[in-house]
Amino acid sequence: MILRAGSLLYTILICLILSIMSSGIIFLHYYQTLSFTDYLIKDKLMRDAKSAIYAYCHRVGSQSPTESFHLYNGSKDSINIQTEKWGIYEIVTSKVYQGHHCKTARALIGNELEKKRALLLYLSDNNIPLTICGKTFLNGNCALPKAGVKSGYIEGFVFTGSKANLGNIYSNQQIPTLSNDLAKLIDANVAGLNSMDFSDSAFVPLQYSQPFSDSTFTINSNKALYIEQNELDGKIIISSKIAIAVSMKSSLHDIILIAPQVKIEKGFTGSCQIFARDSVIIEEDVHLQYPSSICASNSSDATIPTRIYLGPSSSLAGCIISNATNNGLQRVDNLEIKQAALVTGVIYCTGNVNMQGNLGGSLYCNGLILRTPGGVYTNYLLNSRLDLSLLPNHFATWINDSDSANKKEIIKWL
Amino acid sequence: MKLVPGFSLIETIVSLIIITSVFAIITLSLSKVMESKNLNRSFELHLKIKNWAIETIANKDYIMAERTSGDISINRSFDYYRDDHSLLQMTITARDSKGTIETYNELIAIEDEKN
Repeated sequence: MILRAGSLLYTILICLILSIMSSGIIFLHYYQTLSFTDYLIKDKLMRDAKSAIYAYCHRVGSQSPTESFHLYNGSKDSINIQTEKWGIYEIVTSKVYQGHHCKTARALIGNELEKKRALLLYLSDNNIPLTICGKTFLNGNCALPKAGVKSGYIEGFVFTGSKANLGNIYSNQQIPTLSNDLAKLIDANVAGLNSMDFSDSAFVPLQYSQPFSDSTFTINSNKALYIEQNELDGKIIISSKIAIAVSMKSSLHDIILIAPQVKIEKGFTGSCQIFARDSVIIEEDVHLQYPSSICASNSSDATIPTRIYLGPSSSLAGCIISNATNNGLQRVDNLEIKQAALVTGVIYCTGNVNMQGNLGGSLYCNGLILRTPGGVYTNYLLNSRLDLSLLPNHFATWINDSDSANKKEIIKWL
Repeated sequence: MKLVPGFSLIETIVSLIIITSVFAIITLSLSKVMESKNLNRSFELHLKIKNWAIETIANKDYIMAERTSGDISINRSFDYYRDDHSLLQMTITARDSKGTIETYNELIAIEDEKN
């Protein structure tokens, strides 16, 4: 049989087709391997980034932002932790590197309030006993004046409630001081109202979301601001030199409000941190969700005492800090919590608290005030429920770097 | 000179080179097909590990254990990261009869009932 030389062309053509098919298989495998390896590395890095935040919260590994570390023995990745204050809480960011891959995890954290170590009530000792009347219910360890607790009768209410597990710790003449860092942070936010650059033309966008991976979006207004129908969330700070009012139609999440006076109108639901100098008014049926906070602080030469008011049927999950400068014996309500209002978390007030509502957590104050049509009473509680068992497990309060014994708790992933 | 009747010497050499190359490519692609089978195995191991990790965390089942599924055996072990046992390192290792090994590490914050 004689083959024609032209058949070489057919041979080359068939070979070309086979080569293309084979090369296709090779490329397919290559990309499959590449995407699988990529998936595995990214999955591992994401897991390690989250694990690094757990390690940071439990104070394991490096706490320094300049130092990178390995999470597990023999792991190829290196981890870098960065922290940044967000109000009274902290944003922790972990970056995990392996080769050219990098993954980031971010969380809002606070110090854990351990129920076992927490006090239900710290009432400073002004030689006046704590008097409980009506359906007052106390459950949890307390630090109380040496004069003790007695049942009373006021406005027709005899004590019919209960007290349990109060312990026998005596309080000092003043409540424990706030950590320096926190006091400075609150003062810096409030004092900033005098030094910040405020604009006449600043306006609040109707809808804005700023991711926590970006820089802070700030709005500094020279005028009073009314947040009416705005939807704002993320890394946003709104400050006004005069006042801020928030309507029930607005939606706020995780943002910070700073002003001399802040008012949240009836029916609002959302989460925010409020820093004020003079007053914070939370009207009826407002729900400030976890993690929210109200911090008020005035300067030592202030003539008007700081005032926080939490209206009836309102709730707040987080912290209330009133660093008022008036003496605890003065009959001024620095914090007033109305009937059926509920605070879950920690209340810290260097002044007086008019407590008519309910608390699931801890209350630190230099005095309790009760106002009735018949008079004003010191260290009286009437029909209030203070119950430490209502505090959820793993509840986080403000960041306290000096408290190295307590671990930090993740509030939410950002 | 003609090695194959009907083909010139150059044509014969070129044809042989082309055919050899094609065979090489086909062999390589077949070997890659076999490799991708191994890759699929690794992926299968990874998915089994990950599912078990998710199940472990969901059930808070922090106890050493071993599972077998066909020729795959999976080991789960834990190491405490802190003295107060609040942080746990979970390691899950899966291996099959052909020696494919996949390892998974994760830190778990233990939500115990100490409160």
